[in-house]
Amino acid sequence: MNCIRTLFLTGALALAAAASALAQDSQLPIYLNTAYSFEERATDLVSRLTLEEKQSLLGNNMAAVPRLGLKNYNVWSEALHGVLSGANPSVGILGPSSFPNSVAIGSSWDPAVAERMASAIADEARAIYATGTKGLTFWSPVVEPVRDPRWGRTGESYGEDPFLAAEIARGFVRGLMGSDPKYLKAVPTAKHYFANNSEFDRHVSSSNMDSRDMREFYLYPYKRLIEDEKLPSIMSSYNAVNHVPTSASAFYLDTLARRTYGMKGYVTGDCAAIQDIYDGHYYAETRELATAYGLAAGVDSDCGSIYQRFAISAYEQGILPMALIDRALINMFTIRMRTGEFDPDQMVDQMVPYSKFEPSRVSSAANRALAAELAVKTPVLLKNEGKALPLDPKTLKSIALIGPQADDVELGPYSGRPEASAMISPYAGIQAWLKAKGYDVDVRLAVGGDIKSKSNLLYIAYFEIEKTDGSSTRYDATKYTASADGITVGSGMGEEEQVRSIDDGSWTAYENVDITNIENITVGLNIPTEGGIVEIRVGGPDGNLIGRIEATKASGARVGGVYGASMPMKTNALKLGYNGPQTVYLVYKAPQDAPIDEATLQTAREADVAVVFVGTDENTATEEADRLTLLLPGNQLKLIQAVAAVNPRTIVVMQTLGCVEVEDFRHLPSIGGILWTGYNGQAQGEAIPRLLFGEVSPGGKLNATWFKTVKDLPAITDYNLRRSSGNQGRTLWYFDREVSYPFGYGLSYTTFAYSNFRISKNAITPNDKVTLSVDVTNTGDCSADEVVQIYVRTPDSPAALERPAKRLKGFQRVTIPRGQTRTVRIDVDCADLWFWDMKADRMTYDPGRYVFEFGSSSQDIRGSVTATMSGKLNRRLKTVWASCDASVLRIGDTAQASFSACMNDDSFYEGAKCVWTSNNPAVATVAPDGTVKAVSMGVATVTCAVTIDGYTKEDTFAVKVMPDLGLASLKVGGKNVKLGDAASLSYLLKPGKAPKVEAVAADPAIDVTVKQADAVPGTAVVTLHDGLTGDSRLVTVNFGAKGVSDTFRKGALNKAWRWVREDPAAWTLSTADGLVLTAGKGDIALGSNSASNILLQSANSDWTAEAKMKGVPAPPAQNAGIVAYQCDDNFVKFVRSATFNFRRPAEPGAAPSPGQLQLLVEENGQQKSVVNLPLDGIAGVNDVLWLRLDKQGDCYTAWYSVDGKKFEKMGTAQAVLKDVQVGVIACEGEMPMMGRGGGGRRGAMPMPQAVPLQVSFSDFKLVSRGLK
Amino acid sequence: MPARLFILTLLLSAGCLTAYGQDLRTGVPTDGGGFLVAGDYLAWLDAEGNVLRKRPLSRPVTALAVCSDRLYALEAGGLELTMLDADGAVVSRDKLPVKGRLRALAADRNTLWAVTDAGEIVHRVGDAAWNVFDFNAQYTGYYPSMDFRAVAAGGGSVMVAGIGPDGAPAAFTSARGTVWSERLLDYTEQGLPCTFKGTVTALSYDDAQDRFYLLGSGGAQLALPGCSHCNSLTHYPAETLFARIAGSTKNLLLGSDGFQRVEER
Repeated sequence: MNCIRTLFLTGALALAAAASALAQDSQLPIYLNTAYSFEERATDLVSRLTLEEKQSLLGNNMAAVPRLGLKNYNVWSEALHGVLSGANPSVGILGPSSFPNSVAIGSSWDPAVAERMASAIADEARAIYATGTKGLTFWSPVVEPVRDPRWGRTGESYGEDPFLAAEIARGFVRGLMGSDPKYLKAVPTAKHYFANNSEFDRHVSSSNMDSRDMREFYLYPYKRLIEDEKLPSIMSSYNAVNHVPTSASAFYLDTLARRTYGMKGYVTGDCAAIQDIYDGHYYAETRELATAYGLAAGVDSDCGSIYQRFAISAYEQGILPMALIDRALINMFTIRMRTGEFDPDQMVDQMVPYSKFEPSRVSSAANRALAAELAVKTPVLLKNEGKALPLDPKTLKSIALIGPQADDVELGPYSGRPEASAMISPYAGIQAWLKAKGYDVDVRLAVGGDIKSKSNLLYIAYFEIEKTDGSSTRYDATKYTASADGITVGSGMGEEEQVRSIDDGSWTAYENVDITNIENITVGLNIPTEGGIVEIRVGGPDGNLIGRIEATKASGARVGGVYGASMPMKTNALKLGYNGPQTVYLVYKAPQDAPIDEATLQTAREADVAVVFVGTDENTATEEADRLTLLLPGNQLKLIQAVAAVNPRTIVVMQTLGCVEVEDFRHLPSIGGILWTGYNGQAQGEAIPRLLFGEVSPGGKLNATWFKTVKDLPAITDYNLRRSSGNQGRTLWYFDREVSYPFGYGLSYTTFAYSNFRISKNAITPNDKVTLSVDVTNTGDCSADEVVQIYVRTPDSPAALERPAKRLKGFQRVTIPRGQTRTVRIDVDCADLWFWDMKADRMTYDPGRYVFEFGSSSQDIRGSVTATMSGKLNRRLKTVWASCDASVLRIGDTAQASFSACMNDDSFYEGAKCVWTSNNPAVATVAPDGTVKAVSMGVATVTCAVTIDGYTKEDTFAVKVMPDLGLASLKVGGKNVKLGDAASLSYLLKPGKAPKVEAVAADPAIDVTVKQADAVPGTAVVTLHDGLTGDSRLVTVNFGAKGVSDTFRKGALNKAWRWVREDPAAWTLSTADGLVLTAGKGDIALGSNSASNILLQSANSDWTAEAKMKGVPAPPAQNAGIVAYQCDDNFVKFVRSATFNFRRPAEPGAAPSPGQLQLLVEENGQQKSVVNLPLDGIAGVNDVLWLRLDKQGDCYTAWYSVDGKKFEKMGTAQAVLKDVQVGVIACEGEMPMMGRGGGGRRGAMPMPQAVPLQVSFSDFKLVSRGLK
Repeated sequence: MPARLFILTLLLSAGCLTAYGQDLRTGVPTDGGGFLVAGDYLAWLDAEGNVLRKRPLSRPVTALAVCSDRLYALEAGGLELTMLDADGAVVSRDKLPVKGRLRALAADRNTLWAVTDAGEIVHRVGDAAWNVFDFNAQYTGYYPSMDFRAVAAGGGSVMVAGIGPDGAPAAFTSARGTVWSERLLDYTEQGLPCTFKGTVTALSYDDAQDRFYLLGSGGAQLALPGCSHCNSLTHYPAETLFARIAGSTKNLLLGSDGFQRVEER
């Protein structure tokens, strides 16, 4: 037993503690030894895991592995604007701080704000982590640009323009990661990669776009964060892009994120995204395939449960290489190690700068102050007519605070739960501010309105007509024959298909519904938020009413939420005398708005000024639920109008997840001021008085365009940005209609004058950097912030190229004291002015003029400068990506390394040369062609260095070399034999005593046992076992006697045959047809192990078996052919089988299929590999086939013939069998388990019933051979 | 594939459920019908929910499982595992090689699972020997020491749940029973993070939805879908829920004080 194993058995953690500061101690397991690189340590750790342990670590609930000192770890945590957690008094943790959410932070236009916020979040995360209750990996930020404001997660995004989103996200990522060059303070995960920009259909839909929109818009933030900030993690999304699920796409994840942008880290699938590959997109036929697709694409962790349930079976089926499992775990553990998690306890404090964060950091006074400070920086002043704002508290005797958000704190999604004392509503904040300042103002509160959502009223699954005789008929609501515009069908995170996207006035129609003698009507529905009313009508949406169900939260109906399943709601039918089939309409209505009560209006009327606080909440739109309207929810519009009608000094304060329609009130003369903010964190109420009373001037700018009406938007499913039929263009890049407020808009209590516009050079190339300068003078009455924005136009670009009207390419928020001038300098990297050339598949630069506009918004342009672009980008090497087809090798193994070289125009360089080196050739060498050879136990880092045009870039990967599982010697009957790479030897001997087998392992650390054969025929089994990893290798030495051939036409079977589970009634012999088998139920595959009438004879040498077979297997799973059999769980089966697509069964009346040939291996009950050959075009349905199976050691080769003369090779498979028998089988077969239970989001398919299979075998030939 | 409880629709529509009295405790579906424990009786049901026969139980039964076409019952006290024949007669009472008292049973195809209040998870495949996994011993210092109360299996995994030393509930999942991952019992309510704090009484696997359900005190039903942080909590008007039986189109929930509810899928 070697040194490392000894250490291992005594417990890795105990050893780590004992080793103390001995980081260089070679006695430490490599994964605990800080002298090695993180990737080497991660590779070492992974090499020590069993297969079941590996599977258990492929999800976000990563299992504990005590023997390695591996703690359980939950990869999932959220920190979008605060650690998603509550108080934990048992460990001294208060409720975490909740800062302004992303839409608000984006509106600050200040990356430093995001960085400070994220740094504070990371402080709290570290403090919570230190208590052992939460991890350090956070699925934040959302960097998807807001393509459409109806997107349910608009509030989680930094904004509409990818440059703004990237810049704000940059600040967040920096703050969360910290500045230490080695260790991560916390781990950000940018999501949702990519184009998950609508919620209602995200599990099943495809976001379709051309490569230009993809690269320029949707991928841009990821590119920037990965390339510039070394982003360590991304989350692959639920949706498909161009019909390929992002979580199953090697192109999107491996080629783009890793090989193009250079992401070193892990990819987590969104929760159930791997499942969606299977039962959302139907992209994979089985969960095992979904697992294989996901891991092959590069999704390292499944925040679902598919990997953790099906990785082993995928591996055992031969569709998932171990190398992919290892690669995924290495990616994950490398990042976990970068947090210091695996550094020995005694060293953590010395090495990890974030290791000493006390619980008091959470909700600290400093963080409360920061939340208050940031809340002042995000609001945007939309209107300030006649200097309605700021209010002068000295002149006010009373102020009315009206509206549902006046005394509420709306934090928005993915927020922590702060201490109640930290959450300040506007009402509380205003009272406190006035009191603190010594003003005597009567503050009156009246809610007077509600925020009840009118989007997504209901999800409808079915309706049921019950008649007076007690009979009932259920109708699938999703099978409507007509519907109002906008209706969709989906299941979200659930399994039940439902009618969705139901708006006020929507309807669905159903023809031929028999309502004769109707008694009751039941509707199966879910209430996602507030609910609505279902009217059941006949003949039309306005037809006669036969039933009405009030499915509203207000009426006491159960609210299932956006993830909820349907519940039945029943009503008595109105008996109008209808007979026979009718067209029934389900008409959906929003609950009527509550009237604005007079008391509220009286409060507003009597005050000197009325401030109306309105907005949205998480019922308006959220994950899984988009908005159907951009109107303020509930009766808030009426509330604003009503208050404005009674108080000529009305101010509106809106707090929303994004754009809302404001045309119906923003021009009202009574409304002098409108202030907007995103969900503004726990201190939102502290910020309001400071802004309203002018202590601070609003300085935020809109992070998105505010459209006049939802009608200006194309379908939310349209992911194209450029104008086309039905799409007038998206975002400030392409939308050209009048808007309520443009992107970048925001007023101030002061005014700013721009002058002296400059550019550092007027002739530019893509390789230049320019500095744009402008003098900004505060010409008003107070100090304030201004955001100087740089927009770029390319007027010389050909019109056919449809370039954006303008793109944001720089901005800077500056504070300018009253009367002063600041020179604002903004650097623009001309390389960033690229467009995507769809033909050349690379970045390109339009020649000609580039107009750099200096704006206070995207439409308030104060001046511009022009430069002329010429020349080309100096194409140089950007990303080298090296990988290896194995990370864990055994001594003597070889593996193949490969690499790619991506240039700075995001194209790949063909023909690049890599210089391969190993940092530890004593462990692993690497040849010039990338062949890695394992030499001795240990770890090594292999480097690929690529030089192109003088630029050299490198990439590395680590390999771990394990003990050799080979044999130093093998003796059979006292004679040395050469095994080579084979796993099986075969001898052809006479029956009798079996020779003795002796074996010696190549590595003395490997245990060897030999189980001798009892006799000939029989098998000796050599087992090599690595106690370190649990890996085993079997070598079989088969001793067989000569087999017999049989025509099956002689009236009796040769006595060499024996039956397995004989059913005498189901087989006959005839001179004409030979052996005729009538297949029984079951199979020997897939655990059924019940097939009857398997006819076998001993064949424990090498051999070739051949049989003529006649019979046509029918769907779903009948099969018949030759079998090499050890037992029901270990065999090789070469059969003609039916083809049946479980998910897409043949249409009725379709021509029968000739089926397929199938070579299937099962070892230890696990299906290992399958080769399928469809017979279409090879054989007719009723054609006779000749099957031939050849055994050579552990290699089985299948051949087939349609004439008995010319045989075609069908495929090979490997299986280590012992005590082998060969013969024929016919059985009804067993369907795989996939989808039988529910079958995924679209329901299970019924299994077809086949007529019994009758098949005949004749002319069975068996030629035995083997070593003597 | 777990069997389906075809009986539920008719049970409810015909009002049969109440005919079983107020003491429906647990049940298990089979391909051709199912079994229910009703008071002191074990009832055989056909595919349409009719009572084929019923037989008095010699001891109270708290859990049933059908595995490899055999009916197993866990009797109050949890000292032995009882196998019943087609007539409900006791075929055998086996004392399992465990230290604790058996608290719950579950089956998935030909694998029978049980858990004990001493933190043991036992299973056997077919007629093979019992495999005992001493969770508390294996995971000392890594997971809380568990008093297991519930087990369910299906969809390629098994889930166990119980309470830790501080009374806090916890659940764990495994593919093959030797490596266990914690399944957090967090959920979101009104946008805010919450953690399930009640007592665990049972687990159920719903094949059609491919998800587990954890039942507990306060009428709590916590859905645990594949998405590991998409748990959702529902409260029912029962002091304690103690069984959820997934049918083909409906689910039957059983709780204390005669609580019975059939829910549409």
